[in-house]
Amino acid sequence: MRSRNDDRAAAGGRSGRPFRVNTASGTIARLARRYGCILRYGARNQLIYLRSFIMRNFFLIVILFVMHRLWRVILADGPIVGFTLVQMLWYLAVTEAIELSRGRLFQDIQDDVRTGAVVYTLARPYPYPAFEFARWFGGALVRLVPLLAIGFVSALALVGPLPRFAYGISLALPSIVLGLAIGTLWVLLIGLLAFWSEDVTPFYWIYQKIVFIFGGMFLPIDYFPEWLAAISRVLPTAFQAYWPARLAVAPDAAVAMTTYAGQLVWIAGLAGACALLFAAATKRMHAHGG
Amino acid sequence: MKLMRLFSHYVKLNLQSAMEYRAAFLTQVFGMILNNSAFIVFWLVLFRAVGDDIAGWGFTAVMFLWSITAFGFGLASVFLGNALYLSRIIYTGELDVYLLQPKPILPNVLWSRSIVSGWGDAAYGLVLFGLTQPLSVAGIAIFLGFGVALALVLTAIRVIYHSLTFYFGNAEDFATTAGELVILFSMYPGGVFDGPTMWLLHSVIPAALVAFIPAQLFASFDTTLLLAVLAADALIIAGAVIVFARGVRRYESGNRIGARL
Repeated sequence: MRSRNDDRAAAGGRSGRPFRVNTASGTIARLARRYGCILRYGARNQLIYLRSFIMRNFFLIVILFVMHRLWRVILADGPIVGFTLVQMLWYLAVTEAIELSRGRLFQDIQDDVRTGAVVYTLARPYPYPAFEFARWFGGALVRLVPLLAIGFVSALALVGPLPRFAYGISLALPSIVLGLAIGTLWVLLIGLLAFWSEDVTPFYWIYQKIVFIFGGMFLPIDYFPEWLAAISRVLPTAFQAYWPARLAVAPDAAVAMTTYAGQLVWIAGLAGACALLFAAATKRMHAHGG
Repeated sequence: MKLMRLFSHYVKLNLQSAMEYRAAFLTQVFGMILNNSAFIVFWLVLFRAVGDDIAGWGFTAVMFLWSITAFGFGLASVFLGNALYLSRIIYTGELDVYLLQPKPILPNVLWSRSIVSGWGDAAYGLVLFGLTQPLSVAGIAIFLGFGVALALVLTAIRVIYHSLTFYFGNAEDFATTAGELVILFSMYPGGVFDGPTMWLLHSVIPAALVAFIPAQLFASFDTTLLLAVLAADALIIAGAVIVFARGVRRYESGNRIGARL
C-alpha cells in the first residue's frame, strides 16, 4: 500500500526537489540531530545557573569529607568486604557525582500537567517524554563533568590516588553515562505519574531512597546480607550507581561488559515503560477552549 | 500574649490550608516517613557489618541523633517554614508586605508559611524515638526540649545566613546549603569528627550544639553541660534577631505590589 508521502516523494514535492526517502539510517540520523539539538539546549541552560552549580559542587566536597571521617574510623583496622578506605572514598565520589548530577525533571512535568501546558506539546513533531528526557539528560551530562572532577580531586586530597585509576575510569565512564540515563528515565517515569497524582514529590523521595539503599549510594551492596545483595545487584538502581562506581574502583573487563549489557536492557525497559505510561496518560487529557 | 495569639492563628491557618488538599497532605506526610525510614536500613546494615561501635557510638545512640534531628527539623518546617524562603522574600521585595503590618517582622515572616512534609519528619522523629530509645520522663523531656531547641537554632542559622542577602545580594544558595549542613552533620556519630571540624560544629554549623550534646545529655545528664548548651543556643538565636533587625534597616523597598491572602 502506498502512502501519500510516497506519492509526494515520487512527484518531487511542491518545491520540485525530490523528497528524501525514509531509510533506517536516515531516520536514525534525523532523530539523533533532533534530540542532539535538545540535549545541547539542556546543556547550555545548565551553564547559566553558575551559583547553584558552585553550591552543588561544594556540597559534594562536604559529603565526601563527612564520609571520609566516618569510613576512616570504620576501616581503621583494614578493609571490610574487600573495600579499602581509598576504594571506598573513590567509590562514593562516583556514586555521589551520578546522584547529584541528575536533575529534578519530574517537577517540570508536574508543572506542565498542572498548568495544562502539556497539551500544547502534543502538536509538536516529537514525543513529549523524549523531548524532556533529551533536555534533562543533556543538563545532567554538563553537571556530571565538574562533579566527577571535584569528587576525584577531593578523594585524592583525602585518601590519595586510586590504584589503576586510568584503566578503572576508562571502563567506568560509559557505564556512568548509561547509569545517568537510567536515573533520568526513572525521574521521567515518576514525573509522568503526575497525570494520576496531584503531587509526585513523595514518589521521588521514595525513589531517591531506593537508589540510596539498593543502588549502593553510601554503602556498597557488598555490605548487605548475601540474599539481599544478590537481589540488589540485578535491580536497575544498582546499574545506576553501584556497578559504575564499582567498575571505577575494581576494574574488570568482563564485569564491564555485563554491566553495559545490563544497563542497556534496563534503559530499553524503562524507556518502554515511559512510552506506555505517556500513551495511557494522553488518553486522560482533555482540552477545553481555544 | 499577642505574639502567642498571632502564632496560634498562623498554625490554624496553615493547617487549614494544608488540609484543603487532604490527599496531597497525607501523601507528603507518609512519603516523608517512608523516605526517612530508609536511613535506618543504612545504619542497621552498617552496624551489622562493623560491630555495634563507631567512634564510641552504637546503633541506639545514632538513632537518637536521627530522631531528634527529624523531630526538630520537622518542627522548624511546620512552624517556622518561611525561614527557608527568606532570601527570596528579601530580594523580590516581598518583605514590604510584612513591614506594613503592625506585627513584629521576624516572627510574622517566619510563621506565615508551613511546609507540609515537616509533619512527616516530626512524626517520624517521635516514632523513632519511641521505638529505639529507653523511655523515662526525664529522657522524654530532654528529647522534646532539645527537639524544640534544634528547631529554633536551625531557624536562627537560616535567618543569619539568609540575612546576608540584605548586605551582599542574593545569598539563597549559600544559606540553603548552610542549613542543610547543620542537618547533615547532626546525623552522623559525633565521635568521627575531631580537630577544627569540631570547632566548626560548635559554631558556624552548630550540629554539636543541637544533636551531639543533647545525645550526650540523654545518655548521662549533667547540669553544667545543659546550662552551657542552652546559653550557646540562646546566643545563636539572639544573633539571628540582631542580624535580621540590622539587615531590615538596610532594606530598600522594591515598590512591589502584592497581597497576602
